This record gives sequence, structure tokens and C-alpha cells, in this order.
Amino acid sequence: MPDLDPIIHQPVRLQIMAALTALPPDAQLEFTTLRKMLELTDGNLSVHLRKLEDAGYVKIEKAFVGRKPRTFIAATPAGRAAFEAHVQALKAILERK
Amino acid sequence: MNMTRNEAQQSLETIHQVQREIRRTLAIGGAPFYMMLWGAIWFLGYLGSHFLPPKTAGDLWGALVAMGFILSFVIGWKLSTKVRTPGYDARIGIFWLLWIIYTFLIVWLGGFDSNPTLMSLFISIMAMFGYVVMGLWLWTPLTWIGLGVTVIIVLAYILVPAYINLVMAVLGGGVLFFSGLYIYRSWR
Repeated sequence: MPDLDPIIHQPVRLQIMAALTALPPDAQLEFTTLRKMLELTDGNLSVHLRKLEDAGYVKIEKAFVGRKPRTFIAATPAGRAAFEAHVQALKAILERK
Repeated sequence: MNMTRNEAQQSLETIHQVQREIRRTLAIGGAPFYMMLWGAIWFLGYLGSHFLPPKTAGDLWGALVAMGFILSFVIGWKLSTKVRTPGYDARIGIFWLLWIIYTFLIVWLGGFDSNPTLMSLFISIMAMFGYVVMGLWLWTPLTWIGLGVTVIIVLAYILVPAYINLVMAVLGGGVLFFSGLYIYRSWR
């Protein structure tokens, strides 16, 4: 049975990973869009993204869209695998007698 | 790490909720806007083709299509500020660019431009072919909408050729517009 991932287990990080893994593998989500969707502050989202980045679960890229600087975030293959294992662990708990 | 069944259930529900939300608003969020936009353009353009003199109708089509391309670009631009898929976005853009080039070549070399009705039918069918491809690529319902409207176009041409433009306005444009509106409302 897969174990729960202590990094992803935290509720905000669970939502971040859920959002990022819902997109196609090479898609990147813009920081402000993610922040609004999850109803977080800039600082709160940044802190959790840093933890995920340190774990190698997300990749953060700065880019210009027109003249505006934007931050794009994507789940890495390792992050997707860890999230999938975490979901399997959650399902296993539900199936437990 | 310990977790109760209730907590696990709640976590899974949160995951499903977030993923559903993001898929609706981002990954395929542009589709209803494109459908409403081009549905309205079809409606107005074909209505013009039915009621206006050919020259005026042609001018109207030119203006509507130009506006359609500009607004499509704006929709695409808005979406690209929220989510981007390097490579994937480029492939979609390249597909539509090639679509324009191939459609132009067939219209020109095939002599469709000498018959306005045939030309607009051909371009409409090609547009629906684009929907079918986008559906296979991005979101399956687009394929069914593309195939459905193509059937309407062909049947109208065979059964009521005198009213083809009116049928195209109401059924072709209408199906596109209201499918887009339905998807937009059901996703909100």
C-alpha cells in the first residue's frame, strides 16, 4: 500500500498539486490565477510553492506575456507521480475495513 | 502518518473539486467563447446572404470574418495569461494557419470563388472539420458538434437549396452559438 506523502498531505499543498496535475503534462498555470482559484494570499501561496519546489514536485518559471512579467507553475513528473501515489494512499484508507 | 476514513474522504473530495474547477475554467475554458463568437458571426453572415444583395452580403461577411479573427486572437491572448502549454499552443496555432492556407488554395484552385453559395458552404464545412480536429485533440464534445453541424449543412444543401443561407444562419450558427452558451452556463 502506498504511503501518504507528508509534503502533499498539507491541505493547501494538496489543492495546489490537485490543480496542477489536472492540466496536460506540459501545461503551466499562472501564479495569480492559481492564487485566486485557491483563495490564498501571495505570501501563503509562495511559501507552499517553495516547499513543493524544494521537494522537486513543481517547477516555477518567470516569463513575459506581452510586457508584463508572469510566474508560471507546473507539476514535474516526480510531482505527478508523488501526487498519484498520495491519491492511491487516500483510496486505500477508504477501502480499509 | 495517521488519517481517518473521513479525512481521507474529505481530501479526495477536495481533489476532485479543485480538478473539476480548473478543467472547467482553464484547460478548455475558451471553447464556449469561440463557439458563441463564431455562431453569432455565422448567424449574421448567412442572414445577410439570404436577405441582402450579393455585393453587400460579401462585404458584410468580410467585416464579420475580420472581426472574428481579431476577437479569437483576443480570447486566445486572455487565456494565455492564465495557462500556457508551450508546444501545444503552437501546434494549435500552426493547425489553424495551415487550415487557412489550405482552405484558400482549394477555394482558389477549385474555382469555388465563382459560386458564392458553394464557397460559403465549403468554408463552413472546412470550419466544422477544424472543430472535429480540435475535439479529437482537446475536448471530445467539439467533435460531435462539428459532425452534427456538418450533417445539417449537407442535408440543407440537398433538401432545401433555395433556403440554404437561412438554414445555415438559424441551424448552423444557432447550434454553434447555443452549444457555446449552454457549455458556458453549465460550467459556471
